[in-house]
Amino acid sequence: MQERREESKLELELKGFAVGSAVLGAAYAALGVLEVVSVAGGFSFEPVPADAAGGLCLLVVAATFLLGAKELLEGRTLGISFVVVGVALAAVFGLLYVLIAVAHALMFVLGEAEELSLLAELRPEIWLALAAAAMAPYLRRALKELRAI
Amino acid sequence: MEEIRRIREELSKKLGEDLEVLLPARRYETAGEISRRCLRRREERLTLTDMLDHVFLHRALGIPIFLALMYAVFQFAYSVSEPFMVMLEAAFGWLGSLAGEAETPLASLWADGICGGLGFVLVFIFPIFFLFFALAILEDSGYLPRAAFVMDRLMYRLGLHGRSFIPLLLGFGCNLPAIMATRVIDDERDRLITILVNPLMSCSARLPVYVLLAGAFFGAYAGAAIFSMYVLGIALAILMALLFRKTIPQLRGKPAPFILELPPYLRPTLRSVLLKTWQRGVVFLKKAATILFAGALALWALSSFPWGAPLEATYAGMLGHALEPLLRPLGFDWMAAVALFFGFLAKEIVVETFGILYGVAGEEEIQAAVAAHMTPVTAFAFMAFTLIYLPCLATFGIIRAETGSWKWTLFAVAYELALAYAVAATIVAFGSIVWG
Repeated sequence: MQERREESKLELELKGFAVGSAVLGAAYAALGVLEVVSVAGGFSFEPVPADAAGGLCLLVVAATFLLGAKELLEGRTLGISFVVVGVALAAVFGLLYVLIAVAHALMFVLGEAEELSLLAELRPEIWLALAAAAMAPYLRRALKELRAI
Repeated sequence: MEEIRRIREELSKKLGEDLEVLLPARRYETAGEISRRCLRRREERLTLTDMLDHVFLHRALGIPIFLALMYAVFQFAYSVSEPFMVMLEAAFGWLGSLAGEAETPLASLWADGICGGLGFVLVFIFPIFFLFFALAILEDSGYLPRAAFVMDRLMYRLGLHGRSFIPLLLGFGCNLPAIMATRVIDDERDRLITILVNPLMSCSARLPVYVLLAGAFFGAYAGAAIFSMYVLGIALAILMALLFRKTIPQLRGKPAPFILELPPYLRPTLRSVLLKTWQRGVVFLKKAATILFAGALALWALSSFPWGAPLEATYAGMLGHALEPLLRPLGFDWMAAVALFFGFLAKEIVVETFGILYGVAGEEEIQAAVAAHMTPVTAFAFMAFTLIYLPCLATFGIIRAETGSWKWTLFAVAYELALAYAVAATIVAFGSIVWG
């Protein structure tokens, strides 16, 4: 009885990850498309930059999350792997753009940059990484329940 | 031996799979079967390594994830290192100004040759160290062997051996150890192809050239422009391998199968990552103290004598004007020709040459001087030309040593020169059509 209850709790948690992963995947996909389209259309609006390569990277993160959502919704536990890697990739790109923002701030301090726009520096990759990071403690708990870590 | 080879081929045909793949696969299968029968497990446990491999080795996602991570690595190396470069550059600028106006040969040697030339190359130590730092994290985490595994599927189809990937990846650091690393490839044809295409992998010595030109011409897209050079190098390496495999009789045939044991994922330690970064980065420092220093002295002398003559009338000017007609169709002037000529000694000398010939100090000033002599299209073509045109002198030597043949060494030089010219001409032609 206890075992069954724990199983259904885990199942529920995995469904929750599927929803979270789908939402993050959709957000990453939308922003990735915007970043790529901005280059083709020759426009950009802060804080979404016109950055084709950066946009393509966002689409890779989006695909990772969406595949995870698909597998989890189909009841495959291994689908959680995509969520783990998606969160890791989100962290890599979030951290990268934080470091780049710090570098830009340093360039401004050194007098090498004429202006420093906080809005432009807070790229979507940073706040999306924060959203993905919110899943990390729950993921850790789920992985422990699955005895993967 | 002939008989054994015949039997192997017959068996491979009969079983429909190469014996080198089949035998280990059956061995693992049997070992698994024995362990299943002899051991009783309480339950099947999913490890973190299994989970990560499920994604990193995914058929559709494996390669895009690898490319996205590589893009992050190059963005990190270029963008985050920028302020450190500016600080070191300011230090060299100040040191150069200590000698006052460069009116005497000695003052000119100090200001233009050592601080302007060698000093200007040294500021690129930061992107190089940052690049090695990021690659060391990927290596220590256990991801790089996975990258080799996912690339193997593509590479095998395109005529390269899966084991070629590690030497090719090492080529991002330096082509010299990368070519030596081809010794892990058993099949002589696979090894020779990997050696021939290895100089197309963009080593860290080319990075200063990309950073200088991308910074001068591509602004916010500089990181992407630099990344495109690495992708171009990989694409050309694969294409040339395919071409060699199909057209050169000595290299024809299927690549040998690739078997790789994947280590578990580990959390990289800072100590190990820093140690690896230092061990690889220090090669650049040693080069700076020897060949780049000598190059700076030689270039300064060539561009300063006869003393007092205008730059175009110096020995460097004469050499550049002699080479210019060859490169003029690509939009490169005589200074670019001199830079490429001396780049054969070491690719960093290309940047050193610009620093000395333009006679200005500081990255921004040199970028402005370069921008006055090139257009974005010719700059991009110049970056591609630098990537492809010749292996450096040390790589040339190691190709000779590893192939044991002057024929293959000269073939590598000839095809790279022809390819560089063709690619740069294509970029210029395409760029002229699109941007006028």
